[in-house]
Order: sequence, then structure tokens, then C-alpha cells
Amino acid sequence: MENAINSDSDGCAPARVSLKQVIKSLGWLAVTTALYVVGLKLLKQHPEWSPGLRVAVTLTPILPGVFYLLSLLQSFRVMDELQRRIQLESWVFALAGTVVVSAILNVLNANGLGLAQYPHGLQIGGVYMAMFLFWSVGVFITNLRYR
Amino acid sequence: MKNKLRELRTAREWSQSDLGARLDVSRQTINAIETGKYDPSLPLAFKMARLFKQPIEEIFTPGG
Repeated sequence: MENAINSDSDGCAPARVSLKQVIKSLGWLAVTTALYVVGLKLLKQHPEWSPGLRVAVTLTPILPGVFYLLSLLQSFRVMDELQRRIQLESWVFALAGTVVVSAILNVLNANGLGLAQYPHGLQIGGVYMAMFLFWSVGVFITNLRYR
Repeated sequence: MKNKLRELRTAREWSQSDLGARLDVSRQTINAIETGKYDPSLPLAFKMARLFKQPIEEIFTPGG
């Protein structure tokens, strides 16, 4: 086979996200989640802590969370253009789906018809879950479309 | 947009993966372009034109 054309001068990104990048992203997500869960437990166990310390513990997961987002952006940059499109469409689907579910729950709650599990609509954990579910469905559907 | 990418590729006996490797995109991207489900970006279209040594308008035509 002839040499592949070098993409650097053309602005077309390479095709694949490496396993190392996936592991890196998942690693930062795991650290963020672990710090969030441990932080919640600590705050419940130590209500006597000063407000400053409580704020510090609460905000600790932000830093690995930022690294997680940066690693996602890094992965996005090395995708080829179709994969980028699939990801973008999936994120739009996730955002729209989450907004719709959240709006439905809020309207139901406002009229006294809310679900017992969600008395205050989707909380932050629910938003993450809904976004992840809609994103997964979005990736599946758009991959089918471009298969 | 119509294109004759499949025709050009098969004339050279390349698989979709071969062409993807030469253009630095995935096999899925090549397939989506060949089947008309996806229109490539201008940089990718220029790479194709350079690879097949043809003007872009010879490979891609409006419609369809």
C-alpha cells in the first residue's frame, strides 16, 4: 500500500481515539465520582466542620472534573469528522432529552402530579443520569444512521 | 450530493479500510460518504481530489 496521505497539513484529524485516552478519561471520571461520594459522606459525618472546610471538601471534585472534561475535549479533537458529528448530534440529543424530561417532571410537580421519587424534579445526579442515558441512545441511533 | 468515490476506490482495488487509512478517516466515514449518507468536509474532499488526482467537481456532483 502506498503511504497514507499526511493529514496534518489538511486539517483532517486522525480517525481513532486511543485506548490510553479512553482510560485517562474514565480515570478522571472515577476520581471525580469517588471524591464526590467520599466528600458527601464526610460532610454528613462531620457537621461540626467550619463552613470554609465544608466548602473546600464540597468543591474538591471540581478539579478532577475539569481534567475529565479536558480529556473529553482531547478525545474529541482526535476523532475523524464523522465521529465528531455523531458525538455532537448525540450531545444535542442528550441535552434536549434531559431538558424535556426535566420540564415534564417540573410541570407534573407544579400540578401536584409529580412522581414520589422526584419531588423536586431532576436533581444534579438525575440530570447526569438522564444525560448519560440520552447520550448513549443518541450514539446508538446516529451510528445506525451512518452505518 | 452524489459522488463516484466507490467507483474510484474499486478501480484501484482498495477496500474501504484502505481508503480510510490513506485519508486518515475511519472505514465508517468512507462507507457513509459512498452511500451518500454523509457529505465530507471541504478539507477531506480536497484530500480525496488530491489522492485520486481529479478535480473535486469530478468526484462530487450536486443532487441526489
